[in-house]
Amino acid sequence: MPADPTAEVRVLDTYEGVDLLRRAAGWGRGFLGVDPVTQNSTLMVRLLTEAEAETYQVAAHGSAVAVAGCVRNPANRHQALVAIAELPSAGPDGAPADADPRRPAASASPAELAKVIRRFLTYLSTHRDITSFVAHAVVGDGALPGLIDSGFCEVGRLREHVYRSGGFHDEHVFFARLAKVLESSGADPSSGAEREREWERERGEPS
Amino acid sequence: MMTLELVGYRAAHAELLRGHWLTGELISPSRPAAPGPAPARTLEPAPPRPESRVLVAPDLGFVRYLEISWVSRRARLEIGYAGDPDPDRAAVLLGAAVRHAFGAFRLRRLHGWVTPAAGLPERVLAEAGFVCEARVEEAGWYAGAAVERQIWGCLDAG
Repeated sequence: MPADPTAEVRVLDTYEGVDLLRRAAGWGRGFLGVDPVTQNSTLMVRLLTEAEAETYQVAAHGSAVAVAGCVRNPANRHQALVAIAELPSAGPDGAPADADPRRPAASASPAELAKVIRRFLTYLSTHRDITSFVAHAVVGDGALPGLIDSGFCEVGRLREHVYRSGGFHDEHVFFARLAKVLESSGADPSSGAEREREWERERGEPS
Repeated sequence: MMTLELVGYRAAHAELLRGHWLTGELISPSRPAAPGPAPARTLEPAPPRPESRVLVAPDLGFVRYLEISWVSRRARLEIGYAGDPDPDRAAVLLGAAVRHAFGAFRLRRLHGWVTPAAGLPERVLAEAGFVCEARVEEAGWYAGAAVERQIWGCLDAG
């Protein structure tokens, strides 16, 4: 019997989710509208609770690799805003590696993150009856290449929507249906990183 | 075009917040005759949290600034008024909402959700400085089907 792809997704309460998000540090910036680099845990718990967010831990081979979350769209309950933040891998002594606020040193490849995203979306589709997904990301967010590689398509750009690191940045809006996400498992795994580099060049950032 | 000043909500303005509103819509006339109209409901008059504000234009309609981020200096906007869709009323209310946001609140960005299937007030939005920034499929439910919704955004030019 094939392994259940949703078996490695575990529901968390909001406090546990925020604890994992703090471990994700820089990778978790913009996660459902919160920022673990500039906001404390109490504030993040309050914001996620008010948004009625659900948080999850996604594991691979028994080890937690990402914290994920979703907020149902109040105008269509079968659609959800989703977010995923990679957890830094453990250092040689077993402690989590230091996470640089902008981009942690130790991370899975976008292809691995795309697999994690697919696993999470399959879980939401199977157990939460969610049929379409929306995601938001700013250039520099750890999850952005993985979102593109997992089949999300850009459907818009919110101009100067987010203030971060001394400037206002566009927030890219992405959309996907589960069928497209599952089809994307054979796609070019480098396309997300390439798209992010193009947007960084547009913005004048070093790629 | 008349220039409208918004005022703070008082109990006497309660009727302005009651109507058949489209959930989270940028411009929402109260439309009991729309296909499968939402039940009449009264929006929350008092800010449920520090990150929202409710203002009214007496005898015209309401303006709600929601999901305010004082760090990113932005808010999601909703305006509403009783009666059939009226571009002139919508334009006056929207103009007042934008002026108040950029002037009194010193925000620099507003955005909101628009459901084209419910009637797209493109001219009113464009004249107020809004631009369509995103199109999200199946983001709303209208007249028995999942429909596209758009995000329209406006930046302070000043």
